[in-house]
Amino acid sequence: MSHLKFENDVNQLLRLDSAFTDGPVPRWQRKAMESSRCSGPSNNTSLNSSCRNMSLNVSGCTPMKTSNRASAKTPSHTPGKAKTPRSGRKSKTPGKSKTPGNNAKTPKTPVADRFIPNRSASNFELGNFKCNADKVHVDEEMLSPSKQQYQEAMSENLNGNVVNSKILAYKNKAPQAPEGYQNNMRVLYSQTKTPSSTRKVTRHIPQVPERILDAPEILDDYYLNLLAWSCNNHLAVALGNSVYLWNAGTGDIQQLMSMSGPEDYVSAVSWIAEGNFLAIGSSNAEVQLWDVAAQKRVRNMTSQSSRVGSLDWNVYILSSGSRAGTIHHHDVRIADHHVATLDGHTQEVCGLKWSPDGRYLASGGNDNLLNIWGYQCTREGNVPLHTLTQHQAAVKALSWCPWQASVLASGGGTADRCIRFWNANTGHCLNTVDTKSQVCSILWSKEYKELISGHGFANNQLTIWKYPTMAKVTELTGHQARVLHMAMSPDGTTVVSAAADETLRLWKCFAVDPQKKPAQKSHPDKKTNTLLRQQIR
Amino acid sequence: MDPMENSWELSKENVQPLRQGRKIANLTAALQPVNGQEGGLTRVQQEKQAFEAELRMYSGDDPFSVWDRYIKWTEQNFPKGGKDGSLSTLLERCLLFFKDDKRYSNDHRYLQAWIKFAGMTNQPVDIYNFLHDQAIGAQVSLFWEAWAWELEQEGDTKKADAVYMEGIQKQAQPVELLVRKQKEFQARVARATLEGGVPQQSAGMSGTEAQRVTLGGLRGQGKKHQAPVSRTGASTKVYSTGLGVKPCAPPQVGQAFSVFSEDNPQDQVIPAPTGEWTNPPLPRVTSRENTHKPGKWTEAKIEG
Amino acid sequence: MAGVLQAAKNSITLKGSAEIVSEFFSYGINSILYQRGIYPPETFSRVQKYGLTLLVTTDNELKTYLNNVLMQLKDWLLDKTVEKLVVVVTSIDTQEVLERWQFDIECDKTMTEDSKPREKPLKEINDEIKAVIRQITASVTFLPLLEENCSFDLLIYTDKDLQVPETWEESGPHFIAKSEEVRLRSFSTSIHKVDAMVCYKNAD
Repeated sequence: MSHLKFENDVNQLLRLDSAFTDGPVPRWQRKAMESSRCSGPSNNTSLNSSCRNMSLNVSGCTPMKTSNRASAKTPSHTPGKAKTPRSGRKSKTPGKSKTPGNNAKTPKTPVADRFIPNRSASNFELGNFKCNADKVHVDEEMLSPSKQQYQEAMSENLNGNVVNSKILAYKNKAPQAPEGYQNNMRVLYSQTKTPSSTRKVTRHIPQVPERILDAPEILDDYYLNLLAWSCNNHLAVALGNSVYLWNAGTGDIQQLMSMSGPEDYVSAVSWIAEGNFLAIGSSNAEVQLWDVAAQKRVRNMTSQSSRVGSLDWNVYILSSGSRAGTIHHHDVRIADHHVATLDGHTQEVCGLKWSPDGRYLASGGNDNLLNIWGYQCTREGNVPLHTLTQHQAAVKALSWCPWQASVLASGGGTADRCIRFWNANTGHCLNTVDTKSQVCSILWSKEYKELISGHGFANNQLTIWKYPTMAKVTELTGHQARVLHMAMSPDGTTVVSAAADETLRLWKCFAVDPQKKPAQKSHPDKKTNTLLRQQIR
Repeated sequence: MDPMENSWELSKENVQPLRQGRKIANLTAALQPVNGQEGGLTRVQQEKQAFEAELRMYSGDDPFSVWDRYIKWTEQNFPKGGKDGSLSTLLERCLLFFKDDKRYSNDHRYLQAWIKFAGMTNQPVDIYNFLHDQAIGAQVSLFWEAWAWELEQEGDTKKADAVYMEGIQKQAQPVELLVRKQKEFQARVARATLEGGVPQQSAGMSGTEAQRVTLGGLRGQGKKHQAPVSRTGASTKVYSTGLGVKPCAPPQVGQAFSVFSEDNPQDQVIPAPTGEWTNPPLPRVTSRENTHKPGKWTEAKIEG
Repeated sequence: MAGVLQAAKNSITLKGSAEIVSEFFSYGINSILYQRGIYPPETFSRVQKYGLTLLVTTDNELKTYLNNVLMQLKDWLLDKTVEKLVVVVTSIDTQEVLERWQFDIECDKTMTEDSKPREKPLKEINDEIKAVIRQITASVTFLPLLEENCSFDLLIYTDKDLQVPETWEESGPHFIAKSEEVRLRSFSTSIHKVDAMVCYKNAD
């Protein structure tokens, strides 16, 4: 029957001189009646809401009661004092337009005796757009059919269906945030100082780098791992499509290799423990193995389906992580190198680290997951020991504590900004620190029991923390763009950081006094990874 | 679903969030791998060239409008920042160009560019001090608010409050914004005081660790008697006597004149604008002696 | 025995689907409030759900509000009268709508309480929900900073014939003039399908 009612309404409205039978009672009548009459809360709000829905839209009529009259009226002189709470007025109902007539108690003079459209709640843009919909010229050659459909769906979603639905909101509104609360997300957009420790550090840490090296063409991509420092003091740096080796002891530089395809680039580098072989991952999904002394490529292992952004060694097993989220184990001793697949991520694997004792593999991806895998794995169907989901952004920075077994440090990306410590045996989170900026890399210093982390916008700094208190020791600034990769020298005294400003900075932040340093052999501590050797398949 | 629509999610760590938000179309386009065109320029490079050309040839009334659009375009089309999209270089160029142009002293857009630039430096308060001295932005509430916020971040709440007061006094527009922000700031400070402030990090760094002694003696290391790295314990030396240098006699005992003694020496919270500080403290310039240039790889040696 | 349990896990009834959808909204809205910085992060605590760590509010008043809205939503989902749920973020001082998260809900109208349950593995639904919530977290990539103190409101679009309960009122759509729109992922329980998108003020 509603359509008949509608017809009646329209007819009534078209009669200019007739009395209004519905809606608020005119002022003169009200005064005559001596009693204040409220025309009902729902009526008033529907009046307002319908007006807001309608705004200047004359064509799209809703069959709601008083809507036509509302739009046909010209705005009156009286300011809409009854309508929306103006800015500055402390209202318990933020964002809602209400008439005072909504209260259970009827006001002395109901102010809604005629309709006054509310300019601030009207959506002029929408109304105007709808009115001129036919005339709007859309650059249609630019849009593919699917795009057009998308546009239509979008506009339908956003603008169209108001006609056929009711929009409802719960009357008792949600509480507001405490007064003066500043949106904590502001740290993302400018410099923020993290609180520093009150105690002075007991050694001298130079605040400027020992050396700055130019790194032209280094790719500005968070997800890659382009730096690696071998036990033989060779620093491997991937610049664009080439890999360079810098002998830190002599200063000599040599170009090891260059990708052949025009669009290919190097996406990951990793040294074998003995320092004679370098694994190189590339954008065309290859994992190459180079003999550095002979400057020869020894193997080209292809099994991944997309670019290999992370690599790490465990004795003779090389693990590779790809953009597809898969991790492959390659046994470099045998021809059929692909011995296992770990399917724990749905997006790019950007962090990959074996623990020093070879028992665990930590992997972090763009899907915000941190997986800890055991060393025992089958060809397929491997399941992580722990899947840690606390990070709210990509996990690239991963590093195992060299003096405490099974302690892992991980750092989160832009939306997370935290460093977390984990017990890999139990999967329990031991500690969390908010660093206020994107974390790209973490390294431990055994000598001083400290941690160094590399960061992005806006400070682009390296922060040194005391472990386990996580008191900030110092910040090393200087990079003009975000820090992307870090590596540590074999003697643990120097840290190199590569940033998007195309420089490498060498910081002598963990220097040791000469007489204190025990006579060290040049090859690293070989912890016999007996666990892995037992896994003879 | 169109795979391109979600490409922003796959590269989310490579995007620097913008305060005013990003246009998703520009973001998606910027994140696509650039196809190296033979000889030609990419769309982005072409647009950049167009802007540079416009800057050179503009002859209208509002030169800053070109810069303003260029800055906003750079932000939207270079999500990683990086060399090509170096926003700080562009901002520096622009701000230096207009620093003496009084037309823009209270231009809202110009101040926004300064605020953006200040947020990228190590010492934003330095920039705000300069702007205050040059009376740039004195009528724009945004300037006072941004300055007060930086001071609040540094912990200098007294000065932050003074900044709000001065901004309101000078009737910076819109005044209501400043009044409101000051109230919120005061509410925050009050709340922080009630909660007892930030607890100092006392755990862990206990008294058992040795402390460095100010102006304490150090033992030289090695043949060249170099300064030790570790400055406590065995590396220190206690000097029981002074240096053995004798003082010389002053020209006369006491002064021939008297120094004026102030009744209540006042602390100046915000220095008054003098207009004397003409060169902005650009980090590139102020840290010139503190920055090294990249050196040759072959000249650098790190003992392994 | 195991086979029967397996079947039970994968079969979705109308009631089950409504439960899944309203639960998603509970966690989804909490995620939006946390990620956008509308309430202080200290007022949130971590919970495990859908294989993710999610942040949910500990504020009692806020919890009550959300519960009240979502309970009603669940009823309406069962009645198949819900079309959209919208999270509107407004500046308290200027009353301007700054952000608008719109979730379109499509329901298979042929389903009733007594219909045969649909088959869809719960794991698959959870994975889809996980992807949507992850996108909400990642949206900081392009969304502008909410500079001012904001409040939020929940709007539910229903069929026009619906009887409006006492505790609810009609409202406007609260669109954003000159907005950027980004379509996000969707998930489906095979009975209800939820599409997500976010609108925010144009950067200019």
